Amino acid sequence: MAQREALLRIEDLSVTFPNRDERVTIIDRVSFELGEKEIVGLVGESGSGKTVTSLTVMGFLPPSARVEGGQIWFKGRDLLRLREEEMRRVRGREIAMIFQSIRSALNPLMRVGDQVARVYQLQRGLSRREAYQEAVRILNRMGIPDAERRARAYPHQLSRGMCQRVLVAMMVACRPALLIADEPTTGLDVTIQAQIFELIKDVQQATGASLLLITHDLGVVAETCQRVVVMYAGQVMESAPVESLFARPSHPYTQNLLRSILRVDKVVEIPEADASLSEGVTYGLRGCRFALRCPGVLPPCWEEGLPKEEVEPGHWAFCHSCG
Amino acid sequence: MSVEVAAVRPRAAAEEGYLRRLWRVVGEHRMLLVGLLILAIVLFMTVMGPLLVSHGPLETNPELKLQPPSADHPMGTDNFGRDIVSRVVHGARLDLLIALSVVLIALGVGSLVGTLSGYYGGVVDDVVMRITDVLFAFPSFILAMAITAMLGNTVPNVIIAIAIAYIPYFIRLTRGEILSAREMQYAEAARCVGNPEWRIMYVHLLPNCLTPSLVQATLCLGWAILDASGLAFLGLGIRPPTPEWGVLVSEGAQNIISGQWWTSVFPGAVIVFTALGFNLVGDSLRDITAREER
Amino acid sequence: MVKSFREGPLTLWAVNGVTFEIHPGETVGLVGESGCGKTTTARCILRLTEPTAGQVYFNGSDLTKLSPREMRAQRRNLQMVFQDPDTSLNPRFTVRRTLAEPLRLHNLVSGQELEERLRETMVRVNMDPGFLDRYPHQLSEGQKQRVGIARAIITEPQFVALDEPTSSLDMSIRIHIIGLLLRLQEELGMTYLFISHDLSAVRALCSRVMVMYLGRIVEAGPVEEIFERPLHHYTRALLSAIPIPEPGKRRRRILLWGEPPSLFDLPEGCAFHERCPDVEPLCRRELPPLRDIDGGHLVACQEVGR
Repeated sequence: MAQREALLRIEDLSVTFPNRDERVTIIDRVSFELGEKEIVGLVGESGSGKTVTSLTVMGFLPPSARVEGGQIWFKGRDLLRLREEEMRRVRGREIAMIFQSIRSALNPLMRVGDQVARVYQLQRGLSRREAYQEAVRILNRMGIPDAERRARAYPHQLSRGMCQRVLVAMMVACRPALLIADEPTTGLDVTIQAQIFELIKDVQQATGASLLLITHDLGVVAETCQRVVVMYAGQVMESAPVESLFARPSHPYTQNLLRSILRVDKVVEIPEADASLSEGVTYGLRGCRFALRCPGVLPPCWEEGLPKEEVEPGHWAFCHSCG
Repeated sequence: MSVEVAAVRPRAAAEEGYLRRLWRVVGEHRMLLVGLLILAIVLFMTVMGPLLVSHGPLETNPELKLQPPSADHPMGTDNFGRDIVSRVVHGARLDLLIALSVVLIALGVGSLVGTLSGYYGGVVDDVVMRITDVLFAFPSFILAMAITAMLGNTVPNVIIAIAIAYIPYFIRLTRGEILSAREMQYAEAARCVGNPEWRIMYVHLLPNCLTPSLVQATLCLGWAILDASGLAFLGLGIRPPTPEWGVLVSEGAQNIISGQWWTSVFPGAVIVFTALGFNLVGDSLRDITAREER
Repeated sequence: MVKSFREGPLTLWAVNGVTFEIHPGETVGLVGESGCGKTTTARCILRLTEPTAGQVYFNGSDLTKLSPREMRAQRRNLQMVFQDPDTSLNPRFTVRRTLAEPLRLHNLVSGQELEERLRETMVRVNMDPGFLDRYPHQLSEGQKQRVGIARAIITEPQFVALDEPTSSLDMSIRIHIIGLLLRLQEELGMTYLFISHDLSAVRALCSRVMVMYLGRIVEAGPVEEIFERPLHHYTRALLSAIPIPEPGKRRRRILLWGEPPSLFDLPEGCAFHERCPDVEPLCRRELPPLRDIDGGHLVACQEVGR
């Protein structure tokens, strides 16, 4: 892989949240990068810290959260060092995000056409009339039938699939260099899900942006992403091109995960062992947080400092017992 | 930049003990602490008071009438030479008894009816709501006055009258909670498992819906004292010579003009003090439960 | 045990004339997207909602005709596992109380036997009996769902409806729960109705599957048959929409046009005709019946089999 300057590079990012009398390290020394025009999937189960990571990039952490270390390099600047006004200029224009909770991302009191138009007004300095026309145009391109009429609707009058398209429209209004999509299809029907992913892919192709796709669905990752970053309990476990991750997973967690996927195209082997007793994520371990559940755990796994092994070119496993 | 990482903790310890949590919550809320302190004093006075006073509440001493506060009579004496401290302290029992009974009745009836109303909806709900609307239309004190006047001046009647005025609050609160609780899956699961309707309502749903009512109950305890004293002051409900704070204030009111302030001010202050205690506790509970829910 | 089920429309037209049978020991999957009526169908079977019309025969007798008391007594044989482990357990009840309740209500066991049954059931769902005295908020998602399953099986019912039992669980837990359900079925000889929009779970668990769309069954048959050779256009679109976790194995996507019509206002004829790529005039006029095309493979479509 050619050495290109990555569009987004996260290095050793750690964020803590308060929990009663102490602070919990919700994400721990997370590092990965995203190249230009690349689609990277950020994968993990609940509690893995993938959403917190994306929120940190956008600067959307709640006041109680604290970034304890690391850098977020975007186009040569460390986003963590920017002041709020500077960050505000970056948001929307250069980095855009769509969230899981579709309905609450839209203003229920404003017509959708106006909401999209607003983005054009603010970011591109268009007049109200021009902005509104652009808005209708882009809603049409997003596959919303009868865009003229729909633009006059309020969010609650549209189905969730439609609302998500509106959000995508808002997201790309400014042709940002980086798109972040956090579980954009939670709660949507499978057929609508397929439509939305097609849309996001088209948009990414058309604008040449990079896409950080956060999801727990490995099927989506396999179909859509070029590279994958696997997270667990706030740490990065493995990072690889999509094909090598699925074919040769190196980290025990990834291996476990891939064995657990149920598939539509064939019947999956159900493991005999029922691992219910080892559930639960602990954020307090010093070394690798998967150590408690890891079948291949070794003594160095409990110590500070995460190892980094390049198993194949471009395929990194953060593990002592991989490969 | 190094990263601070917490040590490994066993899972059991992650659960904060109930008592410890209680202590922490109380410590963080000064209002609550003050309120509880006040109530503790009132409680002490109620329970231990009658045993500690040197004079009886009904002991008349005509030659000692209208004495200002002194060592022997820290709150002075009244028209009939009775020790005011003693009367206040004995009155506490009565007032608190009234307050407690009122709240228990109002809470009990209110939550039972509210649960029925919220769970079944339809005609039952409509009827109950219209009745509570009517009751709400009157300020609670006026309502209590009217009912006491109708029923007669005895302690039980006073209790009933005030309770009736409060019942609508509990109906509304319970009904509101039940309306959302009945949509929860555990209610459906309870039916699925074979629970009869009444058990679903009263064993499953109601216990989960009591919190706002309990908070309201604390506040009502304070209001009940004010209402009961108010009624007595007006001559309804409790009559002299029974020591009750409202009665005391009423008896002593006439003496203010002649300068013997202690006969009414002390009982009045005690009323305010007690009601304040309940209000502080109730308000802070309300704040706390609202926050915990988030 | 044969159960046949005929049902008419509800005011929201949620379920429209659904008829099917489930045989003892079977695991039947009921799939479809949101609003198709699958959950409502299950709730009607258990009479958690009253069907507007139709009958539900269980072991020969019609459940819809039972009095509330009789129905309650029947409930030990018909149970349900609910979708959301967070809200399906009473937060004020310990696990013990939640599990003991069905046994007490039906007067099945008491005293020492009760305690044993509780422990036995916990072990069956792979949980340490020490958890009996915990409250739901002290359990993880997976554990809560296991308790939900334990509650459903503790009376050893013949029939268990499972409403999206794995939808709110993480991937690695999902497969274990499915494994658990399979094992339990073998051990206790139960019949399952598995409701889900997650077709991969259905494939892993079920022997037969029925696809619903807007309150009607549009296709039904053995799992392998339906997944490998879907005939109804909706089924084909549904299956094609699911991404495959194998890079390089692309599926030809059949993208449906538009969105489903409102349940308040169903179109005449085949409910799918507005979105069907193969629509004919007849489709708009007449409701296609569910026909047996090929030895157990049923499809509701005029075009298929021509």
